[in-house]
Amino acid sequence: MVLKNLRNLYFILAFVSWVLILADDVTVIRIAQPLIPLSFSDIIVNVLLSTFFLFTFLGFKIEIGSKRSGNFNDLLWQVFIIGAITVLISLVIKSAGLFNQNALFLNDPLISNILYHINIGIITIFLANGFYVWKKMILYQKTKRTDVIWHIFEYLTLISVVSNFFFFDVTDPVFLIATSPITILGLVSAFNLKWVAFLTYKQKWRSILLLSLIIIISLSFLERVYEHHIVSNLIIDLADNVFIQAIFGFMFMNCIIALLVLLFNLPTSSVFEQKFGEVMLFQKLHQSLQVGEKEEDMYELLISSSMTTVMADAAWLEIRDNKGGLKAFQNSNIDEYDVFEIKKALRKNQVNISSEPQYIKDILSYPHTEKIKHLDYKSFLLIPLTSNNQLIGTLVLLKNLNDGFDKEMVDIIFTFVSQASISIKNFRLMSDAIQTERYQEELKIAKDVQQSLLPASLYLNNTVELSVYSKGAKEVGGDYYDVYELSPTRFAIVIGDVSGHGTSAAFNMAQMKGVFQSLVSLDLPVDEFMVLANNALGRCLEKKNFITLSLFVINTETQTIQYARAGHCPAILINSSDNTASFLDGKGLGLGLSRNNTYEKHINKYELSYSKNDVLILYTDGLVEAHNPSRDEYGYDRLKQMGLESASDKPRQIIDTIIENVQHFSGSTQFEDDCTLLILKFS
Amino acid sequence: MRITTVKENEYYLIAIEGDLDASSSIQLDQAIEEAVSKKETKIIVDCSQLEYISSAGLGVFMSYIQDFQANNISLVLCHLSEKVRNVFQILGLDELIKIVNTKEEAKTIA
Repeated sequence: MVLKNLRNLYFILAFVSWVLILADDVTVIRIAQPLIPLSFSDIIVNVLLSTFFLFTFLGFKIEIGSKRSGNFNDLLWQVFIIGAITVLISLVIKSAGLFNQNALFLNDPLISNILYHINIGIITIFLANGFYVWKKMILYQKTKRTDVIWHIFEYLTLISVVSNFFFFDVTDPVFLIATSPITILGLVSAFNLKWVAFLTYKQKWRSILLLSLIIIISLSFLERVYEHHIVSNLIIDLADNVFIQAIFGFMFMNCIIALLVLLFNLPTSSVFEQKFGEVMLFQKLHQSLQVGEKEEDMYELLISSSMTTVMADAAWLEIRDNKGGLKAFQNSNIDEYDVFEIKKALRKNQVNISSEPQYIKDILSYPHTEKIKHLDYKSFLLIPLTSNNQLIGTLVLLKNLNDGFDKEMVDIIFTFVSQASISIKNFRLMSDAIQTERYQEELKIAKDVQQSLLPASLYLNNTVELSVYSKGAKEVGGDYYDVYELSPTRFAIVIGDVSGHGTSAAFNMAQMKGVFQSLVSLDLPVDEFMVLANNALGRCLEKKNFITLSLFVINTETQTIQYARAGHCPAILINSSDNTASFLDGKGLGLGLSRNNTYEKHINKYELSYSKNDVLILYTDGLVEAHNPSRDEYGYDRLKQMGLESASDKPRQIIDTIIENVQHFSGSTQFEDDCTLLILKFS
Repeated sequence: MRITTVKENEYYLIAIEGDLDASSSIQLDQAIEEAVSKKETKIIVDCSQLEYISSAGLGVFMSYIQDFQANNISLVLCHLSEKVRNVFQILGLDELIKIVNTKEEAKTIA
């Protein structure tokens, strides 16, 4: 906004200067009584002329500077239009004089001076506009050097406005040498023609046309300036003005150079455009990944861009999945049956797709090609798509010419294909990562579910002390334990292990908990409980899954334990009076292992009594199967021994002792399987 | 783990080497599946080289028990190490699957 106001101010000042010069001239000629004393007149007029030039130029500097660069045709068009309008105006003025049929009209010093002044204004506008349009074009994609050179040139040129105050003979060698730095800088700048390269073929033609027209307009101005110069009764003569001449010269030179460069550029323009198109295709290939397009869209893009780049007549693309199976097939300008025939012919000639690209100059010179003769494809380019040295696909390009692919094309295609391979690989990595993440999320949920299925607190009554250790494996396992109060002195306690790992284990454990909670409240004999549990689970567990379970009903009043063992590792009871340990084994089949009605034959119930300070050790197989690096298992005997050694401690300490011992044995604090240990101590 | 299958007269012999866990149990499943599809009726599993069996491995055996009973196919395991045999015993599977000491014994009862 501020710039716009400044521009308007410059233009107003320029206009005022112009009007004042005109007024002064008129008074000099008409009244012979100048507004300003004659002695000052020359200086004042020159000052006014200089300010007029300067402000017009400064105004256009802002005007053009604010324009977007890049659209060069529009800029040139603007120069042309301003030129054309000014030419038109001066023609109108000229023709007005002609129609007047008055010979005096043109010879009258007043009229000719006024007309000349209008011309001065018009030419200055044309030159100022042109000068800054050239600046824009010259500084397109500027480097620091070009920027500096231009600015020196620009300021020197503007400073040369002061030349108005002196008279110079432009043909004087001394003058030419003195001004040569400006000329050289102008010339150097004029050769910054980067913008030419960014024009399309059509735009180049348009630019040539516009430049030619601008040259013609410039010439017509020059002609007008000198026409008046010769008539010569002018107070201000532009023909003598060094500043205007310099700008003129610069513009003219630029136009000629640009015109020539454009003309010479025309023949190579199509090649350049093609290269540019290739770069754009690369960008598209890049973007296709970033915007999250599908892998399939990439294939389409690869095949179409490769074909246009080498001008192939047909192509096909095969993409393989990680296991080498065909994942995608894409053909263009050739039908699938022909592809099949060509592949057969290639195979017969021992041309196999390997990790090296292959080029067949003329397939028809090979044997076994009778069947594909009619297809008229001669040269083939076979390019493998590889990622981590693994073949992920093949691109085959076909041409009707023999030896139709030159090295340039082949190089471009290689770059293309390797770019596409990276993209495909990234697509796959991304989808793998998403899958893994989803799987891990599922596992986490399963783990949470599993944890929530275990009782939050364990308490029987004050005659039994109970502690638990439960450690999940890295994966989700299926260790399960639970207690149920049948009466204040009778408790059901259960420990089990669901076969398998992962989400299904957690799911089966949930079923186990449901079965336990619904059956236990019936207060059945322990073996009947197992029969019913087997029935229920047998119907809902997958065929390969089963659950091992031990159920204990502890009566603290009678100090007896009733138990049934359905395939679970036998509990250990430590008799405190004689410090002996016994395994609570006995017959019992895992739940879900027998799904006909014969399960009751495979389960028994047992009963025993305990006394004060006796210890009951319940555990899962993760504990006894913990092994050391040489694959020896911790085993039942070591567990029994540790139980015996620590039986006089509190349950918490017994757990610590056993777990520490197991970890010491296995040489790792991390169990491979999940591991649960429950210690009950009676009092 | 490695599984080899040999046909000896009317017996279909499956030998298991190494660990039979969740990942390798699929191979065993395929081997038994193949035997069933070939209408084999006397399947003997040689466990002399079997070092470890997980619940998934056990699951493979048990998933066939009922099919075999219904179709009169006999499955006999032999040469089990003490450790492996213990696993079968604790689970109660020794009551459902015939387990013997030697291959010769297995042939007589298969």
